[in-house]
Amino acid sequence: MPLDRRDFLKYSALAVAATSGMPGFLARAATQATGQKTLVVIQLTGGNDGLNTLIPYSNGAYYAARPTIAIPKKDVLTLGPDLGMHPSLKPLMGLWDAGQLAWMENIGYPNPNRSHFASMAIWHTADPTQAQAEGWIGRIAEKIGDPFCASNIGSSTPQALRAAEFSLPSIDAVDNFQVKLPAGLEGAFGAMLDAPRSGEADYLVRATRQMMSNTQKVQANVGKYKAGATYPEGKFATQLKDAARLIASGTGQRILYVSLGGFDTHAGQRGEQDELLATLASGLAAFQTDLERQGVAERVVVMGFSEFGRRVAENDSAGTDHGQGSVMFALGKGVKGGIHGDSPDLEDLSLGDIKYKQDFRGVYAGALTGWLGLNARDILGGDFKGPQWLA
Amino acid sequence: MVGLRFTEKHVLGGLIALLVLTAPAALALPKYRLQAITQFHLDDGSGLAALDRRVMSCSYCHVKESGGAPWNPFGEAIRATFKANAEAGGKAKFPEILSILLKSEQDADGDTYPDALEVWAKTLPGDAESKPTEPLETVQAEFEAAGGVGQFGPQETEKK
Repeated sequence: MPLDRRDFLKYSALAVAATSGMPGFLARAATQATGQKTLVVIQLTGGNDGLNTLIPYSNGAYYAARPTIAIPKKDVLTLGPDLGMHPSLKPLMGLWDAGQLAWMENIGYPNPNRSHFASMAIWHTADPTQAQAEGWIGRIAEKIGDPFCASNIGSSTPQALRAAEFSLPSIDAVDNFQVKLPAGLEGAFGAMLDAPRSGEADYLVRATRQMMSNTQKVQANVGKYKAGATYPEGKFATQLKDAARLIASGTGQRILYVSLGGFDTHAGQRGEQDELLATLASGLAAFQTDLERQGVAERVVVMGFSEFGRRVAENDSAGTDHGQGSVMFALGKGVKGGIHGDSPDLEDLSLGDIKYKQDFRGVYAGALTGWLGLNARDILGGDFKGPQWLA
Repeated sequence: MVGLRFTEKHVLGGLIALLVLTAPAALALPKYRLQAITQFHLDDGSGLAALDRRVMSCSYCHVKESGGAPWNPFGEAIRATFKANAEAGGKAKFPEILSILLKSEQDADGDTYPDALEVWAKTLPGDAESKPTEPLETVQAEFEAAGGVGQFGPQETEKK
């Protein structure tokens, strides 16, 4: 395979990573990808109840179906004559008012699956037939030939970030990473770089030195980062802070992936979901403020999803069971704020669930083509239309 | 290795060994069960109790070992407590609901031993065939001496 200069640099970076144990995102930084746009994917694990997130507060059928867990009209954060947000999402109202928060209604996929594992796999692989094992982000890495183009912030890499032959890295704690050669190899590595070379080998040595220099600068930037916002306590907010830190430090990842779990609200939903949505909103509000103050908000958008929504009617445990369609959200300066799509018809249901109208792959396609500048068809294996949620 | 040629496949393949491949647990560990194990002090600290269905099987609250509907009498009592709490405008979560239920001194399975007592005695509060062998008064006295229902209060959870 002939290598052009860019490929040469890229693979050299990988070679350095492979030989020095350099963390992947720092090696990625050596390809000088700063300035590129970043997509931050938020996974709400467990099946977030869309109807109590984006609330059809003018619809009597909503209140009839949920006598104890519906959000009272007086508490809804009004977005329009029919829809409003859960009160726990108040920290996001500023972004809504600024036109930087988008909600996508009625999102799902054909032949909905109510299993957490199966449905999450469908969202991760972007394949409702469940024929593919590779994640949609893993396929991006394969298509562009860059196994460091995305990272999960957390300890366990989701299927979305797995490719056929490798898995994109998970970063559990940014502070734990450093450029460090295996003990005892520093001298040998230096001697190897100092040895006189010519031709292609000389070029590779110079490229390696340059990449190590760039990487150290990025690492220094990671160390110098000062949060531009006060993040709330908790794991989710800490992970968002790490994401902001990586972006501000110029590590160059195209996609960062953060998860918030606990949305499987079979019982006592108000207690569980109210708290989780508050965690979500306060974390994202701080993240966006931080990006603004770091001067990088223009090149970051956030896209959030959950593996399914929940049934329209509440159950006998003051909760809701696994459903089908739900809402997605996006926020950032690059987002076209507003409600995209029609609200579900709560009097025309499918086995007690809302009937989805928008395939989630259409929303992914927007992110891939409109934000990351990639060929969505290549990644998703087909053409999927979606709402125009990017500005 | 400087001077070596790297093909895309070789580089990517080599990285497999370097990247930490951490598969998410593909085990069904419903959060309510895990919370109850902690709250009922059934975890020996090894962390393995969560994986051991002998510690608390799904039939502790459900009729079927696979969980889901229907529920046994203790599971139904939990559900009813959730509903009553929500109807009163409450937003109690599972650990608080368990505590409320046990403090109510109900005997869900009707075997004359209150649910809290059965939890402490490690018999099944949703199965009338499962109950302590000692007389009620004896078990009750031992339970109170061991701290009573207060020991099954809600546990602190890590902020998400």
